[in-house]
Amino acid sequence: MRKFRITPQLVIIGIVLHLGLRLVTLLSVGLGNASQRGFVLDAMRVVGSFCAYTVALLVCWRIADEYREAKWMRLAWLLLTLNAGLSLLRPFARPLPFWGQPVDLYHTPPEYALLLHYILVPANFCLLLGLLVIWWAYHEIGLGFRLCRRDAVAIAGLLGIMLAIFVFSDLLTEAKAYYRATRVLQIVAQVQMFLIAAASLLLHRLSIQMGKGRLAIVLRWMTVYALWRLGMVLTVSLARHLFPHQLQLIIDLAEFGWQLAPWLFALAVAYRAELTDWAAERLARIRSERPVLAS
Amino acid sequence: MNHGITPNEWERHLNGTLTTTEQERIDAHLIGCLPCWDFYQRMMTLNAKLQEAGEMKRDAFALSDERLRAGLLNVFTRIHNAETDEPATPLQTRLNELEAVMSVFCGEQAAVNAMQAAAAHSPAKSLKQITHENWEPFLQRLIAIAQVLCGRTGARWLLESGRL
Repeated sequence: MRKFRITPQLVIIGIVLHLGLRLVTLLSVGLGNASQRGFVLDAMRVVGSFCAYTVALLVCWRIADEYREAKWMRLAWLLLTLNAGLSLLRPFARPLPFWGQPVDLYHTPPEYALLLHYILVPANFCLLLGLLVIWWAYHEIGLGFRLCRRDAVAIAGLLGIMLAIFVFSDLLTEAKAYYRATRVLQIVAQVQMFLIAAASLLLHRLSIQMGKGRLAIVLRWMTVYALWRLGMVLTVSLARHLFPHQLQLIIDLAEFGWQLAPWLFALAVAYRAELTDWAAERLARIRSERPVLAS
Repeated sequence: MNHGITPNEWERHLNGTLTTTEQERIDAHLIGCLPCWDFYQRMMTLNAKLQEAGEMKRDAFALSDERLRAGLLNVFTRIHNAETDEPATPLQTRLNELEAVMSVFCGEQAAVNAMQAAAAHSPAKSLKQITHENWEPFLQRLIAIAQVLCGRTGARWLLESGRL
């Protein structure tokens, strides 16, 4: 019997189902009128995010085990597992009385916003540390991978945008939050997002220097995930500032991006799991061809 | 249409590689022969368009420094191997197999670097100095690197592939 495996194809099916159903539901009431199907859309958001983070959690845990003999990589994947585990709670952070109401991160109950950031900040911290430890592990084995000047320029550009965000911090969702802790935590989360994006650029450089290889695909999807989340924060903040009369439409469209994010992480780690499955198949083939060595 | 000009001569004429005598003969014919002149004009236009398109494509698919370096390294290695004209030893064959296995997993450049790093940190000191005697420490070092790059299963696959 064929063993059940989480593959990138399975994750892509999940993405298509989740976002496809959301699109169909939204189109049935018209964009910008999500409140008419509030409960259904909320249920999709929770179930979709839960599925994506569950997939990511299971795969990260399995990959952490795969690196039992490589301490830094094991630590990195345990941190990614922790990130997925904490993120798993995020869809449930929204209190039940608000289920079915349109999702608007700019107008949320103060307790919800605070709880969300209490989960988000440690999750981001684990993700950031995980990406940095992966980079360190590759650096430590001494394969001679180097950063280029254009990486430094890109990272400097990211830091520049981060400073700009501080100047225009009124655009952030929790700029006028009831609790001061929420405001502070959101700023911390934004700094983390920029650092995560910068760390992902390091991994992207590694993937380029590695040449063509299946591992490079994993690193590139990690980069896509990190940049996607940062891009969403910036795009939505800017869109709300530029088109203040289209708020509901922006929220409806932005939710596609936000709900895609956990799937992108799941896709990145699923590619890594596929790599292990693929190596296991090759290993089994070698052992069957050379039965003496198998013993 | 031939008019005493072979396809090879047409090609060399367009490329400007004809001898002076041949060049003058064809130029003299082109002045008086309208079909040949039309053909020549069409070929010149086509040639110019192809060159332009080629340049555009070359710009669009410019190789990165890393890819260029890896490609050149392969070319020079092959030239060197061809010059030395030595048949590959079983050890060399096994090294090539290991590199191929790692390349699929973590990329060509990472595989080359990993092999070199493993050799440098083993008694062999370099890939060229690897012998049957120092093969095992080299392989163990390579497996340690592969543990980080490929994980346990990938490293085991490499270990099985690398056993002599």
